[in-house]
Amino acid sequence: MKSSRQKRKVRKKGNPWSFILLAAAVFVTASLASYIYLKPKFTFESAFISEIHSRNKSLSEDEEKMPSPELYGNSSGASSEEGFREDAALAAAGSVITEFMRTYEVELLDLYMDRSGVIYIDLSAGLVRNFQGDVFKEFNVISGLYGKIKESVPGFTAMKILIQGKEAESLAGHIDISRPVGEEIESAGMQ
Amino acid sequence: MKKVPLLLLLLQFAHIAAAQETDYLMAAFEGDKKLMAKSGRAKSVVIDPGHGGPDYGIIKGQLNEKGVVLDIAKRIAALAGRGGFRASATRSGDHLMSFADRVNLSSKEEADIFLSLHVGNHQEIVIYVPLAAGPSEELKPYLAESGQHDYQLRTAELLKSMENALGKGFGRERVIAKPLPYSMLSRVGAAALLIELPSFDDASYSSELQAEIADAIYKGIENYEKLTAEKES
Ligand SMILES: [Zn+2]
Repeated sequence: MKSSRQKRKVRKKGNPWSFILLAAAVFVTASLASYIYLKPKFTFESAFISEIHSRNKSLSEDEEKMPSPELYGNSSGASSEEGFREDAALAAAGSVITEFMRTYEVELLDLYMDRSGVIYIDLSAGLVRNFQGDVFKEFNVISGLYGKIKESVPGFTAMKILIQGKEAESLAGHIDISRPVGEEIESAGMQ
Repeated sequence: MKKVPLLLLLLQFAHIAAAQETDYLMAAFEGDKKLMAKSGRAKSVVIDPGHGGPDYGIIKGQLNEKGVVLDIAKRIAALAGRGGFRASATRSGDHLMSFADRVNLSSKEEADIFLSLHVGNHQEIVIYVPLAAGPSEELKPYLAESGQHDYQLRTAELLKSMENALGKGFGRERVIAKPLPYSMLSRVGAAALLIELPSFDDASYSSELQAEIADAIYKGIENYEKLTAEKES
């Protein structure tokens, strides 16, 4: 009897430690599970950015199948004649845009086109500081950009303006560029 | 003892799931509340002074667009408050607000009327009307969620009321209406217009003139209220 009681006492002494260890294990597992479960719910991603990502993903999957690149302006290894022709058109659009935006002391940082014909124009910041324009003037900058690209790039459908590589709501507080700008910009009857 | 961690884990997941369920229920409840509130309560007027903070808008000497439109917005909101409207402004101080925040505020305030204010580079008062849709295939998925879609008729009525009021105050020939695509207003679920006032070269923006402008715009709001009240009764 005595020895068994002693044994039980020894076992009781070990219990708090195993409980602490167990509690720690539960805490770690539960935190990890919650983190994994909740992470996607708290990750901010705009609908448009995720659309670009899904487009780029399907693009890279397609590129694995097809050797000729279809994301123009990103053409290292472009081999088809069509690819070169599109690149040349995009380069021409690039220099026209650079010239057009010089008035506003805004630089063209990057220019590329995706498979659906949406052209991404990455501009340097600074138009808000250098602008001094109203609705009509800002509208004209954007419709002007659209017109210049349409003249030089065949297959162009819409343009998406980025500022410093990021999505922007507006150049100067009047026109909403958070979504791609399409042909409505030319048929708006603003003139 | 081994069942305890599993139980705790399950409890944690159950708690998360319950919280989400409550969110959905709350959202549905809010939607119903909004519909109920929109009929049979004082009309909500949201005035939206453009620019703010580091974005001054147009500057001329001591005058800047962000300050002038804020002053006029405050005057309109005060008049609307006195006239029995629920009046608010997207910004009441000198800070920049994103388009998204301005649109969200109009939803929060359950706006019936939303007016953006700017100063332009012209002699006239230009009233811009947001376009809710266009033919471009690329844009259709985005425009489908446009808030203006169900309010185009209301916006047209507000335009008519505003043209009359501003025309009476400043002369019919000085008031021009234009359509505006790619405007933040396309996302606003209310009768919505952007009013661009004459340039700093064409208007002094003295305290008296600011009061006159606010008065004329408020008359436009009143005209619209009368028009819609007649239709609703
Ligand atoms: Zn402005």
